[in-house]
Amino acid sequence: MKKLLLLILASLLFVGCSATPTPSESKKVLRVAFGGDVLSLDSTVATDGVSFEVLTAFTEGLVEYDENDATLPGSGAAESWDVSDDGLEYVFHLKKDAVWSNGDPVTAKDFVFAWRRLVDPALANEYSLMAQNAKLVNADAVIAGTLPVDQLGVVAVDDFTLKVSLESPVPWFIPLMTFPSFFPMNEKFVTAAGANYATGPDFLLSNSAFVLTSWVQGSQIVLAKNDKYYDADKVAIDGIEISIIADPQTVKLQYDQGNLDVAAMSGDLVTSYVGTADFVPIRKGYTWFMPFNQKSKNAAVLNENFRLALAWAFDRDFIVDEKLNDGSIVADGFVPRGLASSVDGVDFRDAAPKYFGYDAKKALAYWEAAKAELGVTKVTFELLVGTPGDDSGLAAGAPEYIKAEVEKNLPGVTVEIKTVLKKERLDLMKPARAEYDVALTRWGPDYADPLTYLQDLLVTGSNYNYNNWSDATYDAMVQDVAPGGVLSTDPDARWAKLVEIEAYALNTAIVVPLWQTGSAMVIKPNVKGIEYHVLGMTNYKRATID
Amino acid sequence: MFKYITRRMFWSIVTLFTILILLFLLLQFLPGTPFNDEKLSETSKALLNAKYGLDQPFFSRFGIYMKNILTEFDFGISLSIQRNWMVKNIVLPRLGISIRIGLQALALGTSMGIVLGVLSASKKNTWVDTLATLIAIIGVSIPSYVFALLLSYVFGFRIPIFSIIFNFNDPIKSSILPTIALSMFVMAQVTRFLRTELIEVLGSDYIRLVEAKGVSKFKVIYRHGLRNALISVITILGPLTVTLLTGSLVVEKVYAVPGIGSLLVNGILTNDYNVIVMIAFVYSALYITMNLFVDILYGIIDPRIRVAKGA
Amino acid sequence: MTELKKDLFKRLEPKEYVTQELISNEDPKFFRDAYRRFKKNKGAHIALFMIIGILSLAAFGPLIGGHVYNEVTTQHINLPPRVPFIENLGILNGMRDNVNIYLQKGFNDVYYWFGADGLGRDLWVRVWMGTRISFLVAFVAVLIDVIIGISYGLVSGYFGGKVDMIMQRFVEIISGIPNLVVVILLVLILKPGLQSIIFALMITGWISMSRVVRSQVLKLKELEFVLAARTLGATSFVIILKEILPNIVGQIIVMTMFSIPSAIFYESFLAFVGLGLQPPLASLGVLISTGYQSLLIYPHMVIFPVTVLSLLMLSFNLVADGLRDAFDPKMKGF
Repeated sequence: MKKLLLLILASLLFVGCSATPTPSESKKVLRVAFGGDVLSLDSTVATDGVSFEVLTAFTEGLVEYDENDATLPGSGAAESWDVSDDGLEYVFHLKKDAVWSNGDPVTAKDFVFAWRRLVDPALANEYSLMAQNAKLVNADAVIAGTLPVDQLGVVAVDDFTLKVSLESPVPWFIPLMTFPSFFPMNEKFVTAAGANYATGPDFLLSNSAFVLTSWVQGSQIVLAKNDKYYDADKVAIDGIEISIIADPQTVKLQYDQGNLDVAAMSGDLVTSYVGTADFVPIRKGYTWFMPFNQKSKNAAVLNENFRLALAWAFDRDFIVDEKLNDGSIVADGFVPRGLASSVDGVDFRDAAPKYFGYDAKKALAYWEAAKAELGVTKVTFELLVGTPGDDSGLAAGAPEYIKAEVEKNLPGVTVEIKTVLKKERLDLMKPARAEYDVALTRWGPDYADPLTYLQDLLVTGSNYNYNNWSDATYDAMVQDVAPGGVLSTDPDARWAKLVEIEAYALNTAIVVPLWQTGSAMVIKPNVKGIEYHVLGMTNYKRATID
Repeated sequence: MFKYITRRMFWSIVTLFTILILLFLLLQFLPGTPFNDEKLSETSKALLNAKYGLDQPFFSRFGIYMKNILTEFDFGISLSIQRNWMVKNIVLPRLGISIRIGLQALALGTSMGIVLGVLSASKKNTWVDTLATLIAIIGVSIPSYVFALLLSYVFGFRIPIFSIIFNFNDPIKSSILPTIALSMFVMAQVTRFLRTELIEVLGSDYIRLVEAKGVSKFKVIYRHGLRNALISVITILGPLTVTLLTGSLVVEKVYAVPGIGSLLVNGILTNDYNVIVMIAFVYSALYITMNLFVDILYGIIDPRIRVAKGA
Repeated sequence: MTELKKDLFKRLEPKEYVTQELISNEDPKFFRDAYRRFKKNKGAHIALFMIIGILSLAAFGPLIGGHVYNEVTTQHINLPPRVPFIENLGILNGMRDNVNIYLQKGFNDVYYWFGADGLGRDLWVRVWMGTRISFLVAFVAVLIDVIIGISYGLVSGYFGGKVDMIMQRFVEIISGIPNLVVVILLVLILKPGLQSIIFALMITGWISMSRVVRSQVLKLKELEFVLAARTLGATSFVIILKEILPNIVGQIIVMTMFSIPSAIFYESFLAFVGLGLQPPLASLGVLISTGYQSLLIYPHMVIFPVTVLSLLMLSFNLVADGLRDAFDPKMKGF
């Protein structure tokens, strides 16, 4: 009895204190929700989007994307740069008034130190491959350990001049420098911090608009405006408060309650915001597609007509509009929209035709042809997929939908869905193993050029050639447009050739592009100026809160 | 008495040791490597495996594993949650929050459970009994995550009394909803167990004597019967701990509590084996400690057990 | 004087007088007794009918309603529930946000009793198929549990001594690891799927069963009727089977009734954490954890499977409680 009374009393106490939503008060703090914590705030170690976003908030690289997706001189730490005629040498002139949050000036030596650390084989950083993507001189050798790190093609000519040497010209080199792996690091500070570097606000420096003030593992990351930033007077907000909330519906409740200014919505939750002022769909760069393993024991997968039949057998619009509903768009081709433009500013997707669609009759015709060629009446194949939770970006229900539609429109075809964890899926798909028939997978661009798809995924012998496809004609075409190829110095001819290359591959349906990922952001109408990029991190520098 | 305690402690340590070995064996069978990026080349993977010692032979790995744990409580490095951090530095700071909410839920659930248990035992087989039992098990009949979200929606959003998520700046007030959600399991188990125990105690002879002496029914239940039944509630503290551990996985995720429950869910999702192993060990240690505590406590309180078990 | 004629007497066949002489087996009386006590418990009685009702729906439900399991109809996704006749009462009428979605989209003659899911599949059928799968998984796991647990407990308890000591030490160590940990590690290694879940559920459940059995055996083996059987020359195996087992059947049934719903419940928990059954298998657990993700938007997807699950849980628990009360002669009501 006593205990019961005590309990009632206690609960009354709590009812008394109501929790009102926390407005932004007098300080303009941007409240954002992330679905997970950062992996590392060491720019040479981080490999995931969340870490990159936070790193970009407090670190400035050589260049940054502006609101028009351009990478102009002066957008980052580099005031200007010179490029040699053969494209093999870049000389960056750094701003002289940039300082770290401890007062030390930002110098070229900071870039050299960081890049050497990135490729140091003793540290075995996962993203040392970025140095290879950038074609830095000796990158391969240094990473393999056959040459010491100081042989990497980057040198500090003086405190404010950085010279970078490349093994072959890379047309997208400048945009590549926005990548956090190439951020600078203060050598004295990092060395002094030792094993504690990047473990907390006391062990990190900022040279950008915001500085890290607090990091509670798995819960919250707080950034405050950096007064030492050379452009601090152009930064309109006082700080950013990042809440880490794993459950999407809890995020929705927090946003609706008014405790969040910015959040990403997914799945069905998006429907309640479509058409409202809060809804801001943005496009990202990942393309989801179906590769067909040419080393598969299933003869159907090797048959072009069969692949074409599958390509036309289901409606990608349904997946995008109904299942994803988050700003994703149907992938009309392999190269995503917004990745690269011609010299005249025409997006690659606008220069190329639309590939595939939903046409049951066409699919059936291809199927009949395939049946004749293969000499069978039935085909069963395995579709390898991950789970939406683990394989991020995979639309919930997409595999089942594809299976249902394919079996309906192509009588005689049976789809067996094999669900595994993502890392196992990647393991089964890797060329060394190649144990699958058809899969659902995605690829994110490493640099702003169509080759990141057309070459890295389809050329013979590539590590990421999940199809295990080998076509000499295709390889030759790609070589012409690759860095150092015959067309690499003629942008217009190169551009046309790229379109031809994509056509060649997609006409055989060696891969079937599905959708290009998007993100359905919800942003309070009084918040403006957050810049999202297809290839590149979100920029909060020019955000405003009214 | 002393002999009894030493025996129990000895077996607890043996169990913990065995668990460590089992965990290591299980670690060997976990599929694939933790490196999940599509971009990883074979050479990079090889370098990473070498760096983290994933390519050493079985026994040297085992040796390193045991040495690190026993000397420094070092369960290795995290690879997918906080790259290059020592796992113990990720797990241990988050332990406090989970334990606090767990204890809060234990207290709340036990008190509610006692109330409902007494009610249903004293009015056995009447509608009061059924109703009390129903209330008690409502929380465990609806899957915990559904219940937790509904709680969040009704009392956090619709009627904004409580905080929707856990906020470490205001740990007590913002932990109310997760505590309530977590206490439902405890309440269910305590109610049903207490009901059974109380009914049995109340049917025993000495209670009949007390009744015959003319003591009122109220006093019979609350003074004599309850005291004995409460002691037996101690016996289920072990299973209650497991309940709290399991429940915390769900509750921590829904309410964004940065404890080890949500860390475990994350670890499973990202296949960070070292984190999973360490948390598995921590959970086992908590459970074993609780059992040891219960056994010793029970040994002190009830001499019959001591004699029977110690022999 | 009446003569005692010979034909007044009939010779009894040995079978007849032997059966009359035999002390009738305790069991039938025991069960009849228990059943009487069980009937008194109104709650448990209703619960029993509830279970039977749900299981019947699981068996026959998918055959009615007019839709086929796994039929993907993209135009029908996310439709709210609509039941003919009942819709005229104002509920289950296909309304969402005050608009009749069915009529709005021109589906005048389409009915989904429990609504449709994210791929346009009928939830009525899916819920009942899911009940079947959940029940099957739980039943198989518990059955294996019972077999292993009983055998282990019987052997350990009956033979006692060193055998018992070793077996109990083993159990003590195993039970030092919380179920959760074992299940998670097992499912991770074996990959989420039907077999790994049954295996994981079963591997942890047998311990409590073996404990109960063992303690019962310890109690019973000293009793006289066992001693009697042994003097008559029965082997250990026969004694266990014929004398001890029937006396613990009550306990076993009770434990089974408790284990089945907790297995189903646990499976739904695993689904939430990402270790549950994978598509296309859709147990109640999978339906609930998938529907949960749209709880705030399309609650119908989670309400129906949750209701079925809760009713099953509640009913099994009430019945198990009732059975336990009924089988325990000590509780003669008070």
